[in-house]
Amino acid sequence: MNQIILRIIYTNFWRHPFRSIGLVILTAVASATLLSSALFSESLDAGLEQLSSRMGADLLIVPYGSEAKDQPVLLQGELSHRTLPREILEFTRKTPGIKIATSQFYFSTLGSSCCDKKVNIIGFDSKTDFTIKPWIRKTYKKDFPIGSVIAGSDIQVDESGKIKFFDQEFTVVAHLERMGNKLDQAIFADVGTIEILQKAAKEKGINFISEGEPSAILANLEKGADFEKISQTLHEKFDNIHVIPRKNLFDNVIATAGSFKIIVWVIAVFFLIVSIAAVSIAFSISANERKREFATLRVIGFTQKRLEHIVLGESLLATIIGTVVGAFISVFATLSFRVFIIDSLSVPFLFPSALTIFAIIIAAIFIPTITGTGAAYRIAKQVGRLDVYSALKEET
Amino acid sequence: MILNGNNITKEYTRRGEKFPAVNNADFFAWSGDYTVIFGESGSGKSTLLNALAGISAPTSGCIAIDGQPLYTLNDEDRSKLRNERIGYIPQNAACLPAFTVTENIELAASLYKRRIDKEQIQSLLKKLGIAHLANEYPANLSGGELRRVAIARALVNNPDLIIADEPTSNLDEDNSRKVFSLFGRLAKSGAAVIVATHDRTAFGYSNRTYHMKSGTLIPDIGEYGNL
Repeated sequence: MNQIILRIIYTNFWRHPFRSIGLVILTAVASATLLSSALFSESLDAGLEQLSSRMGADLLIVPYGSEAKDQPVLLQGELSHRTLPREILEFTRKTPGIKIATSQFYFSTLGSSCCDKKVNIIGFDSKTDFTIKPWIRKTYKKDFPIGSVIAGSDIQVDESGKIKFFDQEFTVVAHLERMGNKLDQAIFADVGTIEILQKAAKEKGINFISEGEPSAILANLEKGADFEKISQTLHEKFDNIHVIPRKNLFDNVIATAGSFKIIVWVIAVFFLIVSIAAVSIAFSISANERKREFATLRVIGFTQKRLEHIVLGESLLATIIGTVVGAFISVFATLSFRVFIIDSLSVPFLFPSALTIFAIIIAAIFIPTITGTGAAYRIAKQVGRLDVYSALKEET
Repeated sequence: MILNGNNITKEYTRRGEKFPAVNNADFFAWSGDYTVIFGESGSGKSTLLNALAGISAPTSGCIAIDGQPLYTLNDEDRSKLRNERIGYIPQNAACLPAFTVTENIELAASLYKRRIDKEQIQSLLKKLGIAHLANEYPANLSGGELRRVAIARALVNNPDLIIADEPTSNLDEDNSRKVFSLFGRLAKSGAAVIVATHDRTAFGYSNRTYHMKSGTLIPDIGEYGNL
C-alpha cells in the first residue's frame, strides 16, 4: 500500500465521522463481547481447576442440610455454621477403607478490624490436613504458630501485619493466591489459633462456636475402597450427616458454569455475525454511493488493486480501532465487575494467567478485524471491477 | 506522440440485442493536433473517447499509442500510462469529497511520482480561474468550478494526450473560451488534444474535425472541417 492510498484511507476515515464511528462501534461491540466471553469462559475454567485442586478429598462429610441446595455451597466458601458430632473424626479415621481424614471448622464474624463485610474463618488441623495446607504452601512454607492466621487474597491488612478479632490481635503470616470465590475474603487458621479465637469471643460474651465440633470432615479413601459401604457405615453411626463423594462435588458447579459459558458464547457469536453483516452492508452502501468517486480514481490512473486496497484499508482501519477500543472496554469492565460476578453468579471465577489473557485479547482483536475486513473483501473486489464508463454516467 | 485507432468497434447489449455504439472507427492524432469530435448525444462520442483513454476496451479493433497497443498492457501498466501520458476529462468526472481542490489535483500528480509541483498546480488553477478555490472542498463548488478542477487534475502531469468529453458543458462562454484556449496552447506546445463537444466555439481552435453519427466516425470536411 503506497502513501497515497494510506492518505485516502486516513482522510476518508476522519472526514466521514458518522460512517467511521458507526463501524467502530459495531466492531467494538463484537470485540468486547468476544473478549468478555472468552475471558469469562477461561476464568470459569481456571476457577473450577483451582477449586478442584484445592478439594483434594475423596469424600466430604457435612451436617445434613448444611449443604443448602447442594454441594457447591461449601466449595464456594458460603460457609455453613452447623457442626458435626465431636467424635465423628476419630470414627471416620477408624472406618475401614479410609486412608486419611481431617476436620475443618467454619465460622464467620463481623467483629474484625479488617473488613466491613462478614469475614469467614476457616480452621484446619495443620497436623492432619491434606487439602488446605498444600494450597497454602504455594505462598507460605513455614509452620503455623499459634496466634497466626493466613489471609485470603481480598483481606486487607494494615502495616503492622496484624488483624483483630474480639480485641485479640492475630498475626497475618501470609496472603493466599486468588481463588476466585468467597474464600478470597476468608481467614485460615490452625486449630490452636481457633481455640484462642474461641476464648476471645467467649470473653466478649459471644458463644458462637461449638468447641471441638467440626464443620466438615474430609477424607481420602484407600485404593479399591467402596464409597457406598463407607457412607453406609457413617450413616448407621451418625444421624443428620451428609456424605458426598468426590465425583458429585463439582457436578452442579460444572453444570452451572457450563450454562453460563453457552450463554456468553451464543451472545458473542451473535454480535460477531451482526457486526460482519453490518460491515458488509455499510461498505456495500458506501461503495455504491461512491461509484463515481472510484471511477474518477480509475480515470486518473488508479489500478483495480489500488481501489481494492482503499476499500479493504478503510475497513481494516475501522475494525482495528473498533476491536482495540472494544478490547480495552471489555478488559476494564471485566476487571471492574470481577467481585460482582463472583458474588452474583455463585460459580468459581478466577482470571487465567497473564499470558492467556494476552492471547485472548489478541484473538478478540484479530478475529473481528479479520472477519470484518473479510466482509468488505467482496465489496472491494466489486469496486476493483467497476465499469468506469457506466459509473461516471450515473447521476449523483 | 501518435495515437492510432483502427477498426474500433464497441458493442453493447440492449434488451438482449447487440448494437455497436462505435462501429469500425479509424482514428489518429499526432502531437500538436487539436481534434474536435462533433456529434449528437448518443452518437458514440463518449464510448470512443473512453476506449481511446484506456478506460474501456473496444470489442474489436486496435488502439495504439506510439505503436504500443493499449489493451495488451496489463492493468498496472495501462493505469500508469493513463496517469502519466493521458489527461482524460470524462463527462461526469467527480472529485473526492473528503479532499480539497488542491488535494484532489495532488492525488493525480503524486500517484506514480513522489514530488508534487505546487507552483504548477497553482498556475493551472489560475489559468482556469479557480485559484481562489484551492482550499475549498468539492461540496462548496458549483458544477462549472468542479468541471475546471477536473480539467486541472487531468493536465497536472503535463500529458502528451489530452482527451476531453464535453469539457465546457457547465461553463459560461468566457470560461469555455479560456478552456479551449488553454487546450490550444497545449496543442501548440506538442500535446495531442481530442475534444468531444457540442460547443461550436471549439471548432475555431481545432485543426482536425470528426463527425460522429450513430457510432460511425466520419472525418469532417464540411463547414468546420479544415482537412
